[in-house]
Amino acid sequence: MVDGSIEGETVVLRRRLLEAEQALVAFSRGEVDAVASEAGGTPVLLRAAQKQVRESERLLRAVFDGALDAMLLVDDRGNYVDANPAACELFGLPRERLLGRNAAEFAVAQAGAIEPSWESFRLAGRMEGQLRILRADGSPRDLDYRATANVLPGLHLSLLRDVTERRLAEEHLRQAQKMEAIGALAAGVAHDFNNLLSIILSYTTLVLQDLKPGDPMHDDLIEVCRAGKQAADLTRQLLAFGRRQMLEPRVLDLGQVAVGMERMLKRLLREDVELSLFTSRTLGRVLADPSQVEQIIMNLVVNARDAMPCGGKLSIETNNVELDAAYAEHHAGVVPGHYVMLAITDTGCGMDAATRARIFEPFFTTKETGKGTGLGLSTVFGIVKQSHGHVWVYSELQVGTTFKVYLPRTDRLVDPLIDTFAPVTLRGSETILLVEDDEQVRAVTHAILRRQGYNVLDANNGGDAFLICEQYPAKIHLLLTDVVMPRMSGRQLAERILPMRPGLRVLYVSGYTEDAIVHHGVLDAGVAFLQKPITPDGLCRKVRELLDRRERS
Amino acid sequence: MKRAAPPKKRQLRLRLYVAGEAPNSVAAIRHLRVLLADYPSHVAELEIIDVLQHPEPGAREGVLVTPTMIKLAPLPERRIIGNLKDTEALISMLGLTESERG
Repeated sequence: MVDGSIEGETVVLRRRLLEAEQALVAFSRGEVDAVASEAGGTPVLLRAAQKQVRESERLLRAVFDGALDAMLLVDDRGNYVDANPAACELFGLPRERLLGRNAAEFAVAQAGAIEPSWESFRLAGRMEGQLRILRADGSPRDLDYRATANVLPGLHLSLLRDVTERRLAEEHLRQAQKMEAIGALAAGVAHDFNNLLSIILSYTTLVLQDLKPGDPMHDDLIEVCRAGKQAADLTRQLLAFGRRQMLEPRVLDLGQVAVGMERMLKRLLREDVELSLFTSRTLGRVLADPSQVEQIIMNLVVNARDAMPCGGKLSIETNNVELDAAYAEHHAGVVPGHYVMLAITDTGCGMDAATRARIFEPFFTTKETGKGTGLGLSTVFGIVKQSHGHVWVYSELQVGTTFKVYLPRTDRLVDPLIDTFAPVTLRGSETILLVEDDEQVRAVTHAILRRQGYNVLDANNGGDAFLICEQYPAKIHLLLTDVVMPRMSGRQLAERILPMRPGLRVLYVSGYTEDAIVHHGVLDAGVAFLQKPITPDGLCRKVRELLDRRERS
Repeated sequence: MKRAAPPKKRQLRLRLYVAGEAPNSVAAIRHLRVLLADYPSHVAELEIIDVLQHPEPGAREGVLVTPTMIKLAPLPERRIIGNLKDTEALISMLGLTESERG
């Protein structure tokens, strides 16, 4: 009989232990139905519990296998012990090759990123953030991750979402918005600047004309003129970047434009740069301003040349391409469709990502001070955007750079070039109605035209101009009007006056224009336009040309 | 005068703890009954207790899991855990011999 002695208790314990062992053996064979509950209540039915476990296991397995996001089980040392199909796809490895690898093998250190620490992770139980990995094929992927510590003893669950494409699209969009904002700012500055330049250049020119030969001030004024013209050049480029300059688009063959420039480009390049040109015979046509396209090619070629101080190869290539919906999705602002591509490739020094991100910004330059204005590529960008095209850059350090310009294809036939004739004389005696809201600009314009013998009627807004038209007893030959004016635009004014004064010619002047005579900065055919800043010579030529054309037709 | 006693049937007192209709419990009852039927020379007193309906006796006797069968007599008391599919183990635990098989 077992009593209360130590020996007795030992016997009881030994028996309990034996029984527990037996229970475990039976349990491992699946021969156990229920287990005594701790508190001595109703035992716990194993089958029901097992069924629940199996069901939730099945559900979890379905979630794990079917999830679009990558899921990994990671042990304390960071080794992968389980991975779902999405994870295998993300890492570019079959499951058996992914398991056993360490998370650290794939992670790419990023500047400024905070290294997650195991200790803080296990303390917090949770961690989330961003990281970049290298896939098995070497391509980087940007991920959002979220990790939960100890989902199973010593195992941590890591959820990864590939956001590479989204990041790229966001980056493109951010870039596009930034360019848009800078463009608007640049155009605004250029507009005001143009009026000031009109005054400076015009008065300087008038004073120059009045100087007696040999006057000591002559050379100084020439310098003022030269500086003024350089400033005008800069504002023109700013407007181009801001997509606010006037374009006169024609149907063009980009290949022909490039071929036509070949000799000039060769002069631009040193002998150690080998230029090659590839154009397709079946190249589609584009609708663009030929002088602007030339400007694009020039700027890109000059940049390519400067990227190859020790010589290299420069190729210009044109081709038909189709940008599909998938491409458009990842490139902000791209409308899917047929495009003509102009690619300019150099074997120069290339650019790093930081430079690449900023090259289209105005005044951003990598050239030495005084060597570049930082407007070359921003001009290209502006022209391309205003022509509904796109420009992308691909660059690798020490390998080279390719700029690809895409312009939308058009089905129209190539326009024949219209010859413009140079007027023989700049003088005249016709009556010109001058409408300009900026008083100084109006005064100088008036002075220029008066000097050439014209009869000038001044109005500082559309309403005044309209009154003059009603009351002036003689013929008015030309309406010379600013485009952007408060209350009534130049276009609206012309539309109201023309019925009263049939045969009246209209010449629009503007630094840029928002609407009025143009649609997105593109001139309607047959509209005469003079770009600010006004210079006496440019103004008189245009006026004469227009008045003479009227008499011919 | 002593009368020769007829061969006395040996007594078995068994208590089987089961969990309702759970498969191993049902199997244990079946295996036990099949085995006892093979030994007509034994009188078995079999008490079956469903722990789901009457948890107290099992708790009192320190039954860890079901099915658990306890041989109360003949002594010594022995316990066997599982669905009693292992006939050899069951026979040896009950102290039966091949010659007694009917």
